[in-house]
Amino acid sequence: MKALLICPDPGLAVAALTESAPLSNVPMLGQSLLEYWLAHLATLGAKEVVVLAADRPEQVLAGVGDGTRWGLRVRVQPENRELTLDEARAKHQANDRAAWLPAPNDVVLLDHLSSLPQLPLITSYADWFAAAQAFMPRAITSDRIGVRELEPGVWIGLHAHIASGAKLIAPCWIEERAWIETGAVIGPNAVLEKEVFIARGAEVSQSLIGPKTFVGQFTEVRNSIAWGSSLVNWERDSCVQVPDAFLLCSRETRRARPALAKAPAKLRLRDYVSGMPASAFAEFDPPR
Amino acid sequence: MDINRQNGTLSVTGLRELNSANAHSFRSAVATALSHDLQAIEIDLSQTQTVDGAGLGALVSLYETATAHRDPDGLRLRLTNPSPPVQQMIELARLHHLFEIAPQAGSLEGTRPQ
Repeated sequence: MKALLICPDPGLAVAALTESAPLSNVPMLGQSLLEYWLAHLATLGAKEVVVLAADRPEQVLAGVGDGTRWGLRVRVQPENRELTLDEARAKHQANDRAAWLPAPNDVVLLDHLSSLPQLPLITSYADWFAAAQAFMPRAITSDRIGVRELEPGVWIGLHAHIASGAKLIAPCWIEERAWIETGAVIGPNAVLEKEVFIARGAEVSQSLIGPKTFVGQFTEVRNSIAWGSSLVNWERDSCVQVPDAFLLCSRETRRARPALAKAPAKLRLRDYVSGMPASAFAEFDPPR
Repeated sequence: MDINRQNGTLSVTGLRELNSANAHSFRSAVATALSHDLQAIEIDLSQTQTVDGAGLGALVSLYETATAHRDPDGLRLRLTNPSPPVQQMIELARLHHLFEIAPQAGSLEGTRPQ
């Protein structure tokens, strides 16, 4: 049986998430929308899936390969724009309708998770965050390796480091290779994607931290999606590019531009802040 | 940038940016106008397009200077009308716990330091 997956082109609605990757590749609780849907279609009996990608199809292909991970044959078909469901059926199912999964799973637009069909994902940052929260208790599936529930409502991925002085408040989801320093408070309703670094004393609640994002010492991320240096308040639907790497940045930026990421921050705060504890603004290199 | 004083309140308006480019001059200019009988410092951020760590540090430093030889509870530092992105920077650095924030009309309610 065959199926079509349409990668969505959400425009500016969740632009901060799609700066470096198409939305179908953006992780939610460690895996991309495309990965979740391919796994789901495999359980429905699909053997062949055509992925229709208008946005950066080469990245989509790199993300899924040939589909052998799911026991599928996957082909990525570049398109000029996002097709509607009817357009996709007319264009790709014209002569062999019997070979396809029954509707609605014959053609799926990746604008929701299979286990949460009622929750839109890509219409706003608030929707993305709400879906991530709702998905937390459902995300551990039988084929998922490494994530364990440390205590009720607290999920931890492989090789995550949590300092003894850090506090985890359920519900929260901490992906693999995340690093949390002492004094940090994570939760409630917090998601840390892979390789996030939470520095000493930082607090993250009602928020989602994107992969490889550095959250600086004694900062507070609340009602937000932090994705590299982009900080989105999903409640107010406002966004800011944080200019100071010691507050918030991509860990890859810190590695690539150590001089820009470190020295100015030290100088500025030592110059202007006299009474706060020096440790509050000390620079720290995340482990590499 | 304009600095005016009226009825124990020092008001700062017309601040287009508060970052490494002007943080030092901002702090110096406002500190010059400080006095022991001040009851409030009100900084209007309605025209402020960008804020960074240096600018936020200047606010903290200014507050510390103003309260250095007096009861901190006797002086309020109030940031008014920050745009949503500027307010995000303030909150990321946790300064909303230190300063009173009065958002722009139509946005969320103001916060008082906790």
